[in-house]
Amino acid sequence: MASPRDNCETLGYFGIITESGMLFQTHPEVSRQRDLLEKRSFASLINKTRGKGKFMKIDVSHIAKLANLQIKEDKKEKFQKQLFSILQYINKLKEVATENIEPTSQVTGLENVTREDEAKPSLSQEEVLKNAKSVHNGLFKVKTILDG
Amino acid sequence: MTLRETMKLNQLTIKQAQEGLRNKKFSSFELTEDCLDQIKKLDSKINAFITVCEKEAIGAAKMADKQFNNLTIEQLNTLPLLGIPISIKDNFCTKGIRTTASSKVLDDFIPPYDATVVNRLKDAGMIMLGKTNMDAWAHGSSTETSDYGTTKNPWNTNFLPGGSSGGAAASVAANQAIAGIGSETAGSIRQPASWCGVVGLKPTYGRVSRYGLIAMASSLDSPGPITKTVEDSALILQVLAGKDSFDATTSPKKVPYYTKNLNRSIEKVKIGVSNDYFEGVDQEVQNGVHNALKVLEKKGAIIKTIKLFPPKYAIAVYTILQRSEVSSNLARYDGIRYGNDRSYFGDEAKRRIMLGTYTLSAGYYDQYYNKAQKVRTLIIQDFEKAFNPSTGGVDVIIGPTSPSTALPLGSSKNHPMFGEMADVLVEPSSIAGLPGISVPCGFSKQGLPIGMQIIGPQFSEALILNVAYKYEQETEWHKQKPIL
Repeated sequence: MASPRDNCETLGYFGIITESGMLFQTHPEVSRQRDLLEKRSFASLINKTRGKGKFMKIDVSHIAKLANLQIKEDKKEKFQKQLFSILQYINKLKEVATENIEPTSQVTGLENVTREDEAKPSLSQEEVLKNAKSVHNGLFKVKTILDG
Repeated sequence: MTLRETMKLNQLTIKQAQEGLRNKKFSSFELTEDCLDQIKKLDSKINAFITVCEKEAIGAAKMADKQFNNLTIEQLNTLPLLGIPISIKDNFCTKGIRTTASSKVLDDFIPPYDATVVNRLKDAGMIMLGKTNMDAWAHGSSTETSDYGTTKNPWNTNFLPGGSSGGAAASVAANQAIAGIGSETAGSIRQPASWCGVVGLKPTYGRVSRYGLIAMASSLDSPGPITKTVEDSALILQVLAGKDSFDATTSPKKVPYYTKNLNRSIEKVKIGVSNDYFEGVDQEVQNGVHNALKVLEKKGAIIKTIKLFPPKYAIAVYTILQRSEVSSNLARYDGIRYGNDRSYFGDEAKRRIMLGTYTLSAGYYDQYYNKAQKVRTLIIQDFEKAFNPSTGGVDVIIGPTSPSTALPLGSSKNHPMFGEMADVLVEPSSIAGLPGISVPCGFSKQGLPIGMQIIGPQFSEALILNVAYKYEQETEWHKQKPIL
C-alpha cells in the first residue's frame, strides 16, 4: 500500500482536469508545498532512475510502488523495455521549439464553472454500498492501512 | 406481404425504423426481436457484446409500442428515438446493468446511476440492447486488450474491428443494432467506424457530456454515435449534445438543428487537404479518399492544398497526455467501494498507468507533461490558422481516417504503441478538441472498408455532417453490407 508521501510524489495530479470537470487554480499553499516536495524528491528520483544510456532508465519497481501496482519480478524487465521504447518515441517532442508557448490543459475556454451550493437528492446509503465487497454497519470496511 | 417478411428489420437505419414504427408497419417489439435474433445468431462469431439486455429490451419495446398507440404526434415528436434498439459501449454507466469497461477490475460492477448520455437516449425513447466490447478502459485501437475476448470485424472475421469502440462499430456493421454509442479520446470512434465500414462521429470536446463515462483521458474524452448513415448520426447527436450540469466542461453554446442542415448545398465550401496526412498511407486508402474528393468537387466544393503540423508529433503529445491523465483517473480503482483490486489490471493498463506516473512525477513533469501541453497549444494554433477565413483558410479538412484498412487479428500484440500508430491521423484534431466524422469511401481489393474523415473547427458539427451527407448521397458505399 502506498503511503501518502508516495502519492505526493506524483505531483502532476495538481494540474489535471478532474473527471467532474471542475477547473480550479492551484492554491498558493499547494504550489509552495509542491515546489518543496519537487526539490526534495527530485534528487532521490534521479538517483533511483539514472540509467547507463542516453535517456534515464525507468525504475519499474519504484514507479509501480508510486502507482500502487504489483508487478511480478519476471515481468519487470519486459515492462522496463517497453516503457523505455515509448519514452524514446515521445522524446521526439524535443525537436519542437516551445519557447514562450503557454501550455494548454483544456480546450473549452470555460473557466471557473460553478453552480449554486444547494443540497439535492443523491444516492441512498444502500445504493452506494451495494457494490462494496466488505461493509460493516453501513460503512465501507477497509484493510489496515497504517502499521500498528 | 408485411415489411418484416420482405426484409429483416434489424437492417434498417434509424430514419427508416422511425418511419416504419410511426406508420405502424411493424412494432418496436418486432424490431427489437430481430436485433436480438441477429445478436444470438452472430455474436459467438463477432463477439461485439459483453452484456445483452434481452429482458429489459423486450420490456422497453413493449412499453414503446404502447406509447405509439397512446401518444399524440406532438408527444411523439419529443421522443425521436422511441422504440429504436441501440447498443451502448461498456464504459458508459448504466443503472442496474453491469458495466465493465472490458476490464476484470469492474467484472461485477453494477452502476447505481445512468451516464448523462444514456439518460438522454432513454429520455428520447431508446431501447438499450446491451453493452458492447471495447479495449479495456478504452486503451487501444483493436479490442485486443479487452479482458472479454477480441471483437471480430464483420467484413472478415480474421481481421480486427479497430477500437477502442470496436464492439460498437461491429454491432452496427453486423446489423445487430440499429445504431451504437461509442466514445473517443483520439480515434476510438472514427477508426473502428472506418475499419467496419460505418459512420462514426466524434463531436467537439465539451459538446456531449462525459458524466458517467468511465474516465480515460479527461481533457479528451468525447462520446458520440456510430451509425449506418450520416443522417442517423445527426439524429443521435441532436439527442446527445448540450450543456449538462454534471459535467462542467460541457459548452453552454446553443445546439443547432443538425438534421435540418444536412442537405444544404456545399458549393464553394473550401476543403483543405494536407499531404502530411497521406504520407505512408496504403495506396488503396489514398485512392479511396482522392476519389471521394473528386465527388465533392463535382458538387461544387473547392479543394485546396494546405500545410498542417506534422501528425507524428501529435502521437507523442497524445501519448504523454493520455498516459498522464490515465494514471490519475485509474488511481481510484482500489476495490474498496466497488469492483476488484488493482491486481486485476491487465498489462496494457499497467503499462499506461506506469508511464503516466513517470511523466507526471517530480523532475519529469516539465520535460514531458508540460512540454506536451505546450505542443498541444501549437497544434491548436495550427488548426486555427488553417480554418481562419480572414487569411484564406478552409472550411473543413479531409483526409484518410486510418493509414490502412483493418489489420489481421493479433496485430496489436507486443506493440506497446499500436493504438497511437493506428490513430496517427485522428490524433491532431482530437488534441485540439475538434469534431470529426468518418464515412465509408470505398473497399480494398480484399473487400475491407476504407474510411475518410472530415474535420472542422470547434462546434462545426452541422457543417461536417452536411459535407458528409452530400458525399453519402452521391455514393453507395454505405449501402453495402458484410455477408455473414
